Amino acid sequence: MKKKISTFDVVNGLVMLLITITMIYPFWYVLCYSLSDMGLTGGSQLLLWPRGFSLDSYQVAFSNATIVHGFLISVARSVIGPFLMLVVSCMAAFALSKNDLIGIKWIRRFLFFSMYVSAGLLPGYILIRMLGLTGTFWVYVLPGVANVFNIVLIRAYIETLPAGLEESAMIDGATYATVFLRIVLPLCVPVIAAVTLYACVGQWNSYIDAQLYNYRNPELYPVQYILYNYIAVKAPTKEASAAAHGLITTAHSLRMSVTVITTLPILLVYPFLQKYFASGLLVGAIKA
Amino acid sequence: MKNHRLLRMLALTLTVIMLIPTFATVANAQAGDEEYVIQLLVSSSQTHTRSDETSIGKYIKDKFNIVFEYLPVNDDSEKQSLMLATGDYPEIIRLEGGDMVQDYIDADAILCLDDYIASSTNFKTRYAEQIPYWRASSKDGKIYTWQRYVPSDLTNAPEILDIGTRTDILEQQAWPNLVSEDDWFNYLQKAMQDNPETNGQKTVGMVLPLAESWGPSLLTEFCEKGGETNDQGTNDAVVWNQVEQKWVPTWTLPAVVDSYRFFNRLYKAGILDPDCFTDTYDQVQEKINSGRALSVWYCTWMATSANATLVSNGNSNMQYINMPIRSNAQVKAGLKREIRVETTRPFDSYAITKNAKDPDRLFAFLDWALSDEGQILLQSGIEGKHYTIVDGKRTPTEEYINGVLTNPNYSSDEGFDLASFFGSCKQGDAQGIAFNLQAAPAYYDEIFLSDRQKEAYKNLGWSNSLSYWTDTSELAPTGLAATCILDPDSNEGKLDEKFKAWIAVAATKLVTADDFDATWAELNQEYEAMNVGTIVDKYNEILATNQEHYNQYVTTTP
Amino acid sequence: MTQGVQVAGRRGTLQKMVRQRQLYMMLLPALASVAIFTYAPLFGWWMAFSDYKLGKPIFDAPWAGLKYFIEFFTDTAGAGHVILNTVVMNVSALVLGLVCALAFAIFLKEVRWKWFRRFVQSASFFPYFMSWVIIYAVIYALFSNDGAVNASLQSLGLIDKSINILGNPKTSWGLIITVDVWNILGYNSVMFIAAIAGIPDEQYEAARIDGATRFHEMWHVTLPNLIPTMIVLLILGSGSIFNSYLDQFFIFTNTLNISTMEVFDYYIYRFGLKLGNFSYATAVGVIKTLISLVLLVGVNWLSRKATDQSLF
Repeated sequence: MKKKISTFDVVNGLVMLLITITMIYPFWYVLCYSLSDMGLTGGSQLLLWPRGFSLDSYQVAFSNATIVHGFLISVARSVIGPFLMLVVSCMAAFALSKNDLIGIKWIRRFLFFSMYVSAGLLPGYILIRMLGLTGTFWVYVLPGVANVFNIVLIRAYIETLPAGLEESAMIDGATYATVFLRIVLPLCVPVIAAVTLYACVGQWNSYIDAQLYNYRNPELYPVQYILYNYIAVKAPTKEASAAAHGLITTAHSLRMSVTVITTLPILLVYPFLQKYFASGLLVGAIKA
Repeated sequence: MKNHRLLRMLALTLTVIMLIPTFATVANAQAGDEEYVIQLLVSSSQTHTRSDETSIGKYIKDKFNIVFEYLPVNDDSEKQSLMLATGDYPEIIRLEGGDMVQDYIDADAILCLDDYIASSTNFKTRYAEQIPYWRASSKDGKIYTWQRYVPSDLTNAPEILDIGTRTDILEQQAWPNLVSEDDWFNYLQKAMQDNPETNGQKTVGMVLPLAESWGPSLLTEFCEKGGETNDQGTNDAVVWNQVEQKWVPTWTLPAVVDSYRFFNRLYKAGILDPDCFTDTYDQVQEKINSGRALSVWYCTWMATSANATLVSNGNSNMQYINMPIRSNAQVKAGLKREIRVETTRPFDSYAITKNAKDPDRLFAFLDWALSDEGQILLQSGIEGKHYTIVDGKRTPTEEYINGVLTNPNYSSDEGFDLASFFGSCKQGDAQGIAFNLQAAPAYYDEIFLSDRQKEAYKNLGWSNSLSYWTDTSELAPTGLAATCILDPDSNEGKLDEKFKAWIAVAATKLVTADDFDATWAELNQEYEAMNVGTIVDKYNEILATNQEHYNQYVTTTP
Repeated sequence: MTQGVQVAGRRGTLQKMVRQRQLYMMLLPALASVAIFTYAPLFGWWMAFSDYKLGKPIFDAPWAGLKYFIEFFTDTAGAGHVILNTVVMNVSALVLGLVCALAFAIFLKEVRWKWFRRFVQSASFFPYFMSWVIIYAVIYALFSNDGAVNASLQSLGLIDKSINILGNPKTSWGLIITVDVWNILGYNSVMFIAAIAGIPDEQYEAARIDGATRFHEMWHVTLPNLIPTMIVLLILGSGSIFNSYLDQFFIFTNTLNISTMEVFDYYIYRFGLKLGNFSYATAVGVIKTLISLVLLVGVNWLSRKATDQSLF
């Protein structure tokens, strides 16, 4: 049933457009800067379009052959990490939503307080080392496997589901496991998709764990760490080296292209996940 | 059911992906039998991952069967602390400063080198000057570390950082020989009037990156330009008086007050970039690269890297050169400038750790590296390829000069400075030619300066790019000054931290003040309330103690 | 869940636990992980009460009592403004950020054109990927003294001297709060959008049957369904109001605006952590944890009293 386009629609649309512009513009600026010819000194300041055109910064950034391997590692951790996290967190969230579970109050406190408890950098490091996780891939995915923040979110979502569903299933003789897998989980697709998105992005972007625990193992560097080295460690002289091979770039421009390289994959993945959490994939039969 | 199919696909994909990490770890190849591979943490750029990928590295491998593996790790003090806490340090480690070294010694993490040194050939002769100082600043008089970039002498051109300015502006004003602050003020003021825009963008008179952590110390630099004091490189409450060999307070030093007053003048006249307080390194580099900056204060190395860009896009006549500045008072007094030359350099200390697989072999290699032959190989390269002997003197080859000029990362590509622990001594051979040909005054200009820069210096009437300074300065070895380290846990140490925070803000207030003198008086009251005198006294106390120890050790054999 | 009959006594509880064993098994991985990775390292808190010597085993360090805690309090005695800065900026950013995300999600739902809605939502996520160095670079390009905004305002004759928002103590709070809200809008709104997706159509139909306009729907149907999520996020965020992203503040803090820009973590970093004093740093960590927990419990309690909803 087509409705007339009201003033509200127009105003809303315009406001959204404005918001979109403020959101996108910085990235657009970064993209333009990374594509600009750093050799040009004249002309107006870069605002809307690249100044000249040059892929030199990207060439420099990709000149490191280990980047491809880094991509593999990053993809691996961005898939395995969220998967493990989801398995652990969904189960925990489901169990946490059961108010009549013996000891539930203490279990909840145990988990929630852990979010604000911080032992500091050094003890954490020592623990990881004691567990033998330094220099392995698993240090990327195991420590974060019980993300309490996500557990809380999923649990909150579960609690908004109609109670009657589970009740009727259990009266029919279903076990907790069945209720969880067949009923609750499918209904939680939106929040799961949202949480997966957070987790994927988090895994994709992180490099501090590589810097701390795996710096002795170049074969385990994720792409973010390799590129971070460009920015923090190598950029000032990569620029010099680039000038050598006829490529002109600056440390600033390198940073920009590095940002684009590391952001683009996520931006491509995002629309897929968006489908799930935004459009309400609620299969019917909610009502008893 | 659709769900099951999805699940199966997911499981399959995941199994495949899970295999990736296992491949990653399997790829670790076994090292050779006698080959000694040493992992080094490098925070500067290395274009290779293994040293034998470079020509010098190959030479080392052929001769000693030692190879270095480079790990891009930002080995700052936080990392060094972490490595110590977990025993995770590499075989050879760089330690930043006396504190860190002492922590490692206390934790029994690094080896005492006394025995090695006693039986060494080159170590004890190379570091003959340094060893007493090292013993003096060590708690038990023993030596655990050696340092990079020392010893340092006249065979190497000194590093001078005054003001970089555009040569085309100098040309516009008929090549003035700028020295005093008045000279510079008038020059910049006229230049701003004559050049409101550069390449379509607004011109800026002077830039400097004050938002960097070392930024605020840039504002006191007059203290090193001429007179008895020089800057020991910290934003501290004290400044070193080379002539009287003692520490004096920074805040009340006339040259420092003049320094702030100069910037206040520039600020009020609109010459100083109003964004300088919030500018980081990147922003300043951009302004210099675009030619918008008429001058850059102290950070002349930024101008050097911009010159390459300016040449390549046809603005070669805008290139920057380094020119001197002194305060008016310093010009009047006409005293020599004390150019700081490091006797010791605790910031870059190296040690062999308990994790070294074969410390004897390591030290033997280090000892060889410290010989003239070793230093020449590591700093000048391979005879025939990088240099030749002409008239008994080492001369750079065409290939070398071309490489350095067209490929600013030539050094790393070829393997120069293969590993920073080799000492990189700033000395020369028996003929007085520096180990590092790029630093030898005889070749310095020839290799480094572009045609435009040479033209500029010629028009200014200078015989070479350093002649003003060589005529008006003297080398000031740091000696005991560098051994004076404040314990950060002491009261004075904490006060010093507070002072650093205070002076950063005070400096900004001074530079932007409407009434400079009134603001200075106000701030001076705050300064006196802080009782900074205790810091000065403490430094001088440490100096006296170290002097005593030094006198003990300087007569004993290393 | 009204499950079964209430059986009195311990035997009954045990039986119930056995029946609920599947739930315990589901909780096990999470509990184990949290116990190992979060609570176990707390042995390191010993460093806060002892004179930890780098390189020596942690428990070898001699007892130092509350020495470092006292040191911390004396150091921060004059740092009231730092705490004020931190709290103002964080609380404002938290509340404003969630409110804006909520509003954004609600109005986004009302956008007529599906493709546009998807586009806007995707766009809202972009800022989250920018590092602070880049964000600062963009703000600088636009708002610095020579930046685009000042240049155009001056050429339009609206102002004669350029306005410097990056180096002005009066604008620090506004700047950081705005940047924070902008940065996290897309990220926050994802949760609200997911929650909206879970609102059953029947509620809307019922409202429409009752003659509700679009605005009524938004106010009486969409909004109430989002309040639970909002509260959860608020409670979760409340524990963190003393924490700041150091990389953000390293870049935005300079000598001109430091009086209002300096936050607690930055202050501690300068005076405690940078000096390599792990005992001191750990003591600070202990204090921060305690404060965060107190806040968390407090806000949770408040929420239970006010809205009958709480996290635990």
